[in-house]
Amino acid sequence: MNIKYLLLVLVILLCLGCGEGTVEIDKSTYQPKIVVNGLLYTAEAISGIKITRNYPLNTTIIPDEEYITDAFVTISNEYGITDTLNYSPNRYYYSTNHNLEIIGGERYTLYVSADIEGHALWTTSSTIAPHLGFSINDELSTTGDLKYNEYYIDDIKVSPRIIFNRTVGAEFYGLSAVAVNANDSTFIKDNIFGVKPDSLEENINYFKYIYYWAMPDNSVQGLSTIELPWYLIYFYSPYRLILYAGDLNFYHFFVSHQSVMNIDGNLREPLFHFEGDGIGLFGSAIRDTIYFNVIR
Amino acid sequence: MKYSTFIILIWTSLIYAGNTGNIHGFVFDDENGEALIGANVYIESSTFGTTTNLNGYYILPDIPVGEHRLICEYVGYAKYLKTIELRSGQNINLTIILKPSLFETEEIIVVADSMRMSQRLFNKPISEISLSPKEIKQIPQIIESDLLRTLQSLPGILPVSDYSSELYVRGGTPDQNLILIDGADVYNPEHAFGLFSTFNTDAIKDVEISKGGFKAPYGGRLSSLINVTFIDGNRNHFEKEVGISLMSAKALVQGPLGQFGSISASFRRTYFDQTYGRFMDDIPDYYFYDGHLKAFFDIDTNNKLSVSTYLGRDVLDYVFNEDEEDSESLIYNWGNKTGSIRWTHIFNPKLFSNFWLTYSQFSSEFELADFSEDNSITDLTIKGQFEYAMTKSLMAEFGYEYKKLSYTYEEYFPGGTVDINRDRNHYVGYTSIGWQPTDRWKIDGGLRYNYFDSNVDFKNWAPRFSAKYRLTEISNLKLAVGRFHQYLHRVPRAFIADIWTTADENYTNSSANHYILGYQREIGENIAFELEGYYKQYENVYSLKDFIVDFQPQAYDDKGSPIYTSTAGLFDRGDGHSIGFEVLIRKNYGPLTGWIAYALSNTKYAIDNVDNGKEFTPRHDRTSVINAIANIELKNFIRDLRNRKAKKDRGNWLLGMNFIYSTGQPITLTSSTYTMSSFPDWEYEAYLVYPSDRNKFRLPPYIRFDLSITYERQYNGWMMIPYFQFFNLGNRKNVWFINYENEEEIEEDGRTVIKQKVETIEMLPFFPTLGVTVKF
Repeated sequence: MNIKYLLLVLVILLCLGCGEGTVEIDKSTYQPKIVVNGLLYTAEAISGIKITRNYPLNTTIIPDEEYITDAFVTISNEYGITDTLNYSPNRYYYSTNHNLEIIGGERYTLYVSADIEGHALWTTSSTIAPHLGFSINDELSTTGDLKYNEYYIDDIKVSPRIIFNRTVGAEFYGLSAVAVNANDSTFIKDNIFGVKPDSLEENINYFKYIYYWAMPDNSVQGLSTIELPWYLIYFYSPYRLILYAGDLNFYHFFVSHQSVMNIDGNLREPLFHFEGDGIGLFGSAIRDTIYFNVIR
Repeated sequence: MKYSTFIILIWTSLIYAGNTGNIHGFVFDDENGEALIGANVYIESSTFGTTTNLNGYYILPDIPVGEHRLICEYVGYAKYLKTIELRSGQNINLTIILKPSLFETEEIIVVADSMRMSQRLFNKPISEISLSPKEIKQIPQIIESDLLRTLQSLPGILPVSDYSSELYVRGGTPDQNLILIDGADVYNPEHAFGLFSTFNTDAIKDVEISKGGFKAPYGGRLSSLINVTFIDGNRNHFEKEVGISLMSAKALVQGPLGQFGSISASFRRTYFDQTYGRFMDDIPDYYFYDGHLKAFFDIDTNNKLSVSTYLGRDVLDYVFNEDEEDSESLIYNWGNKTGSIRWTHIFNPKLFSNFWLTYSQFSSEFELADFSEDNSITDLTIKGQFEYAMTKSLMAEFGYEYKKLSYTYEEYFPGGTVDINRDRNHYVGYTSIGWQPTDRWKIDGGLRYNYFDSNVDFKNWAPRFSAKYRLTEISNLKLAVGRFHQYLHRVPRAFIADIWTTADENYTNSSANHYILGYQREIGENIAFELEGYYKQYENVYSLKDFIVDFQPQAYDDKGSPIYTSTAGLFDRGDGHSIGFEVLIRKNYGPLTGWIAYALSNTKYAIDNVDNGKEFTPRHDRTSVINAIANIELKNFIRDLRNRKAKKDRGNWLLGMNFIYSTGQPITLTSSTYTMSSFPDWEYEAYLVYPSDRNKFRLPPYIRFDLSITYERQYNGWMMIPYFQFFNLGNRKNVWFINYENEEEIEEDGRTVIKQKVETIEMLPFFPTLGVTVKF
């Protein structure tokens, strides 16, 4: 063996250890799906059921063309009463004949069929509506004007809180908090996590739309509290807070739909409750709303 | 073999013990007085022979009376020869001091490697590999040498990414590895969010790795055994070593404790933030430290005592907005404490024993905003191990182990509390008989009994069997089968410490069967060729659920918030299997050392509730892996090329190379994208991805080449060793995972369209580092 061979081996290994791995994803993994986004509300009319479609990766999506306008959509209860839903110009399906009344504790089944790219697709999903009895307690909850990060109760600094009456059959309580007036000028620059204003440009929705959730005892009625931490608040703005008392489908969708990527980058299947070719959410809930206003 | 023949052989062995004597003792290194593990001791031109155990002890029982030439050999040391006159019934206690082979004297015969390679291969158990501290230190790694990262270069042992020092052994997961420091179990042995292992390589004396089929004294894990022994300390003179690198400063001190023993201590602390942090963004305000203290007491010829402790801690205190008084901060610290007391007692030359009292604790604390958690596992173990040389051909091992495990996981979050506190007792008894009916055969049969005292009791037998056959003068055949049980389950978490639970009323113990067949051959002077095939079955392995939605509260607090005190709903149960073969060509001695390895494997898991229980390939599966490791002493290497004898120089250049090629990592790709809002009242819709079948695709192959250059300079009484390490020298962009991004664009006609991008996130780039070690 000669020393030249050693150098040659070094050079070969170095060359092998250069370059980059490239990933090409073709359309072979694509399967067309009906995407459902709809909730039934106990004691409310059936409306707001959005039906869209999915797309292969590396496709240009035109948002206006996502909506499936000619799907066959029905909702039926456990006694065989069925409503056929119509498409609204507001891009959702709704009931016009109102055969069905959404009653707490009863099961409702959605059926959708549609044609996507020449594929005849169908899907079905069921939900059990939560019982009435849920409401936000306006008197005990935080409302009105609040100075940012300076809210005291009994001289103790606290976060804004929503106190609500629980209802039997709700699997979880999801809080949607939206900064109604979110823009550069209302951004809280001395926020708790030190987020810079230039982060807003690409991520304004991340700061504007906040979610929070809790799973208190669902076996008995009573009062529960959700505290919205100050570190989630980024705007001097009125905040609209809608609390949803949701069913199991809503809960599973809520915890999984945005979290399909593990921390190691691999994907995992979200917890959707559909048979056939459907993905997304068909669930049921009860909702209530309050407001507070964050001031300087 | 007929039953009657077996009885006759045993009986003949026993009566043969009449007109005989015994030779026993310890084997030590002349330079530092450390006991040598695995040294070969035998009587010339006879079938009497053995190897030293983990304490460096050997026993040659029932040797016929008369004059014998006793030989002791060990890799890198000169052959020891001594003529012994043995009388009937005599017990000769012979302490053997071996001299490193480069220090040639008149009294010893120097050979390149005194023990024949094929014999060394025969001596070691199947699937076992030993690494010396020198090998570990010389193999280039990220920033500095690291034990677990070095093990990732062995066939059948894999990392999951550049960012993890965890070991996946023959398809098993990291929780299935039994890691011992001086006899104490270690849990979560990771520094720097998993980037490095907890072991300071300067403090290591010996590492034994068994990739499967290990004997009855070891158990409690399904896949592998990593047995780390710290240095006892130099018994001849004080030795100091200090080192600095861009990552850490470290020191090691060792020396004699009078005539009675020795002591060693090490300490290491990092300062990333002050070095790399000055040139790189995103280096957090973070450090870790670790250290060990070990004392060895040579009480008398029959009693030795060893006391060993280890402490390591990582500390992160990150303030998000340092300008704000009320800014949130992330506090996370974690680490290990271990301690062990080992009493070695020789009841009589034939009955050798070790008794341990060990303590090990891993704990972590995490605080961020209104979330906090405390996570700990404590292990207190009492164990005893006996080796009884029944006859020349029969060696019995037996022992017991009692382990008290306590683990705590407390988590406080705005929506509730998790409060899991458990105490468990694990009782073990085992026996193992090694029988060498002829020179060519060595057979071991063992049985291990486990009683795990949990909410529900678990009782399991774990039989083990192995056989070794000297096929020819230069080749061996080996076989091992065994059943293994594990009572610990792990909640794995990327970058932060895993949580441990145990078998209980919700989850049974996990089990595995190992079937291993091996062929070994000496293919040149000091070159070993090893081929092993294996099949491994897993039963009741537990995988953390993708989404913890079935975790049901056991109580509610006065605000109605849930309190979780049970493990129910954490895991999905599953089964699996791994099959593969590994080829290893290794050279342990000389100016060029290292190995070339190839591993072919296939692992499949089927987990209930994942893809409807269909089989899938786990992320750590790699079909083919090639490893090439070379450590070169340049001057002696060139001398060797010119057919000149090796010699010790005052200055010496060392070159270390580490090359790895592996099939790409399995990954779940997206099947499509769609838009949805999280709440019906949101005007904002997110672009979401929907996955395809689990791990059905593979990332591009992983390739990396690392290089280290070290210069050893000897001065009068001290030595300086500067080194450079180049991790990923070719700066290859190995893909870690894929990120999916959507960009909104406005077309000429005013319509908004979404263009999707696939972005690859890469593993570690080219990373140079330098350091210097001074020994005096």
